[in-house]
Amino acid sequence: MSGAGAVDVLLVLLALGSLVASALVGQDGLWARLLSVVAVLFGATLIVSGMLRLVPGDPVENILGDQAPQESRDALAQDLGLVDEHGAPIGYVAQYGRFVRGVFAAGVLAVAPSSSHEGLQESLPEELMSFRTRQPVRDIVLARLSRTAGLALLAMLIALVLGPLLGVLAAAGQGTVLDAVAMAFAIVFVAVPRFWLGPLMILAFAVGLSWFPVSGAEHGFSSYVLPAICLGTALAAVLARFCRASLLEVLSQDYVRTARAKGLSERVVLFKHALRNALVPVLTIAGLQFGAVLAGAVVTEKVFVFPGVGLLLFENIMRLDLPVVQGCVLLIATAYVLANLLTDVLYQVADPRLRAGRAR
Amino acid sequence: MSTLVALLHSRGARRFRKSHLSMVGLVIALLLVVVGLLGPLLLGPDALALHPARDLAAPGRYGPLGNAENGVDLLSALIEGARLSLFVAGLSTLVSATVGVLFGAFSGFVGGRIDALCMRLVDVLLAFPGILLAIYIAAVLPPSVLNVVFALSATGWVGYARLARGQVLEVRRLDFIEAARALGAHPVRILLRHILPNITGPVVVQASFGLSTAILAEAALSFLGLGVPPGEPSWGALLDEGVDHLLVAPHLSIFPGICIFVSVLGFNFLGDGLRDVFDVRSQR
Repeated sequence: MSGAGAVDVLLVLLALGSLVASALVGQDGLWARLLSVVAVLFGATLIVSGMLRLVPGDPVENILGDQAPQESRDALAQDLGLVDEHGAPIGYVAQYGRFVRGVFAAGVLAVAPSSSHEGLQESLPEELMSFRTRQPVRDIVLARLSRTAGLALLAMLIALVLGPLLGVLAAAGQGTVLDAVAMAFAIVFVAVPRFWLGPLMILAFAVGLSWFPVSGAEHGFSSYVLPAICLGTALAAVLARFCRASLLEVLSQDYVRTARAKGLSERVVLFKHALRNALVPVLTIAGLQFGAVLAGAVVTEKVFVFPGVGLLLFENIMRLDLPVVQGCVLLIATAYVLANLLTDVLYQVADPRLRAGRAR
Repeated sequence: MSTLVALLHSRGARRFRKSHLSMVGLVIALLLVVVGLLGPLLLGPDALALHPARDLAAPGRYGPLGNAENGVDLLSALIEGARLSLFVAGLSTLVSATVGVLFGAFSGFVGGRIDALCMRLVDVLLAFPGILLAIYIAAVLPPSVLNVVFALSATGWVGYARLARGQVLEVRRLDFIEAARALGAHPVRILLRHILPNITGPVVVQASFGLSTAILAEAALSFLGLGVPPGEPSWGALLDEGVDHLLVAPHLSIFPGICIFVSVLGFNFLGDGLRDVFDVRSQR
């Protein structure tokens, strides 16, 4: 408990309390759902702030090297907040409180207009700072955020067009060559490792044909194309298989038979009656897979040396710059949880049967 | 035993045998297991020896598939890699499934507030998308094969927990569970003897897909430099080596790539077929 103040204890209790409260309330209804989002994010902070304790290496030695005199080590450890004023390593509770307050300060500064920052910084707790560059983690992460967001959204778009397209082709031609070819595409997209597909694409389209830049993100939209295809095709494959199964299930239902029996053309039956119902679960899966896209961005960004949050995370894991790692992980977890919440809400809008309190 | 015989004669099993893709998946999976178990025994003691003069040699010059960095024979390395990659994928899937099923089954069986709390813990872990936590664990632990297994299992068990809980909630409502309880069977006995055997189908199906995910995840960790220690020829490590020499020695990425591709394909087909055998409806 070394170095823990009353606020730190309160924060830990709040985090644990939100988890228990959310477990007691359940998940039915919008407020309970929002509470569960808060609880999950608090739970995530509990894990992320504990990361510091898991690291076998010493961040101080990592920065100063093993030749540095003891005084400068102690000073740096003090500076980084690894020890309390007596030089003892700080306990988990104090560390957690520091982390949450740092995240809170970063969050306020991120949304406040920059003219008010000087005044705010005095009244707010110290925000999360990079071990290495001593810059606010907020600045470092936000500088990269728009790129990863753009990459992930473009990849989602590719998946949402390509996946259902392959799935509909396969289901409409069930058992034919079309079905086999569409599903072969889907399975190839799943089974080829991204970090092999990526370099092959670079060789073919960037080095060979010079259509796109080889790496980086300096060339505007064209820098995004290859990484987004590399990232999006994996999800497209999942969606294609799911869409095929979902459409086949819908096509076997009575109302489709009725539609056919009253003489509607196969196209009207397929697109107007069946597809709309078949796509609802496909969209849910797409939303739930958003996290996989974000995680895949780490590998994809490394392949294309694309300076987004994923590459930032990877580089700083290697450098043991934990505040930056914590910031990236928390950001990704938040995006993931919000995407799931949004999916849930959209699902209920799209499917009237799920409205009216029966949220699950 | 009698249930196994019944399973082999079920409608689903017949569908499995009639489906070409399922049989292809089964053959690939069996082949991998045979190569992984027996292959390394056939290799000589110095099969993985370094021959610096043969560095990155093309297929056919010294060995049928060419040579890797430092002149290691690629075919021997791939056979050794089959053992390693299957060991990592198999063990991490086994650990994930065991821990996940026990946790999820307990949660669903006990029910109530404990169940809700357990599931919230699962939600928290699910908030870290898939491989992210594995990357972190693999990064902070010293490189070793078992640590890769640990990193993959630490994130993998959550999916099984969700699945097992859902299955238990379905099974525990059935009459024969009620009957066992009426006869005075101990809850632990009910869980282990009556409930768990009835949820194995979906778990086996998920484990089959899990094997292919684990093979890809191991490869991804190797690519990030967080996989098996240097010198251990897992397929992911070999492919990573190959990507470094994409232009000079394309064979070095093509053959490991094919190995990963074919085994992922095989376990996927097998999973699809097993889904028919166990008659598992839509997987959510």
